[in-house]
Amino acid sequence: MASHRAAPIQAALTTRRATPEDAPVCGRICYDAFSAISAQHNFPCDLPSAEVAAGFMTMLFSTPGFYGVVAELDGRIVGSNVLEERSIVMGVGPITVDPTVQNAGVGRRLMLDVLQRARSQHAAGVRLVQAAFHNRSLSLYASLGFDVREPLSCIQGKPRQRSIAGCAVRPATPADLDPCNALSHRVHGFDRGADLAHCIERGTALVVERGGRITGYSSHLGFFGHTTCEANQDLQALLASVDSYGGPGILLPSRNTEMLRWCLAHGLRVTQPMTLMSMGLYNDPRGAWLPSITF
Amino acid sequence: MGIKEFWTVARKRPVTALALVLLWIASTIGWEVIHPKLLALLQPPPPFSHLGGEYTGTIYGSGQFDLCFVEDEAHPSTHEYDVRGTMLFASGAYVDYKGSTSGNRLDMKYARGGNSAVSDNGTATFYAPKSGKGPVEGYYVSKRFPENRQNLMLTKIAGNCRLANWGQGW
Repeated sequence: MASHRAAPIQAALTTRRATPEDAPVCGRICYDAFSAISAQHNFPCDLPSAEVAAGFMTMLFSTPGFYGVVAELDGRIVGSNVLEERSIVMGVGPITVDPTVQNAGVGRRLMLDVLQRARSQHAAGVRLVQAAFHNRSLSLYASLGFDVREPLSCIQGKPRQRSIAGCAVRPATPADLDPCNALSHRVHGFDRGADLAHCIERGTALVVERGGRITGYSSHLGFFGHTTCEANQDLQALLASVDSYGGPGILLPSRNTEMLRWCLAHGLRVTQPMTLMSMGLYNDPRGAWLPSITF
Repeated sequence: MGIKEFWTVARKRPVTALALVLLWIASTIGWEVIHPKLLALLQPPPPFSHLGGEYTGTIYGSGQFDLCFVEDEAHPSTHEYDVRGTMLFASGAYVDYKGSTSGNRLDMKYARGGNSAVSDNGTATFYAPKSGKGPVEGYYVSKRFPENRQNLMLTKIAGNCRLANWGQGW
């Protein structure tokens, strides 16, 4: 297999805080980079178009709680990275580099920038999700100190079963925020209250009740949402309650074999393998859960 | 069974011989005595069982978070701790915390306000180190201002607890 490694271009490379005005260029680079690496491995691209990617970057670069950074080479934007800093554990991504200048240190520089930012914000831990087929990104993150935590299966489809006995799913309301945060703390050791509050406001969040109390919630059943439950039956109830999952799909920890088999037996399919990685504070969750594409 | 017969069995069937020895010890000493000792041998120690003593780390740049694991002297074998903490501010103000462990997690909650107009009470969460020894890693979140959150890395400074300011002044 041919291998190409470009000369480092660190001397001419600069980074600066991203602004919403950078979103069209960063969106184009994001789409080009993701579609190129996915096509090389015969997987579908995570983003449908450059326009959708630009809209996504606009949201990330203008929403409080997100830190965006762009890398410039001779004044031209060649990549970007984002740090979600809404909770004590922070998430990285998307990080993308213009395919014409890849393998020359731009990605590492962008990663070092957000890790420095996370340190300055006193993050207890930093996490990310990478495409498992992407050897270079795995190597970059591992060399920076990230540990592999969970193999993930991206899952999409329409579930055959539409409800689980004893579990009731309904849209989340602001009154559900405290019990959901308490549940997250029990399962993960920290809460993602700011993210969840935003999703409740947008109307994407769901809760599942069993025995008269909240036993699970999802900020959004899809690529960009996270889900936390006490047990697999709560997670099954949430997954069964919708027609499909947002974006490329949900991210199921593959070691949850009971859930993986349940998904496969109920008409869902695995679309691609991914990996959850972390640096700093990490503890195995005590419950059933789905990370978002950030963490 | 005599000694000779026992050694014949031990050579041929060591597992059976070990079971016989355990049965003999149990019948001699008493099952009530040997059972907890056997359990202690078979079960891994609780996650916080090796963390007795005092730990400290910095918070808010110039502040300090102290943590104490006070072993239950009446039942040292249970590895139960009375967990206490104090957050000291650069101004000299301090806030007391009390904690309880659940599995590998230690949750610290505000116990009482300090010796001045301290408003920044909240919660701290720590995890038992996987190696069984320190440092103890976790984070603090202010209750009143949730955006005030800090990672915490506490290192052991003493085998015995001092926490000189804990419970003092109020």
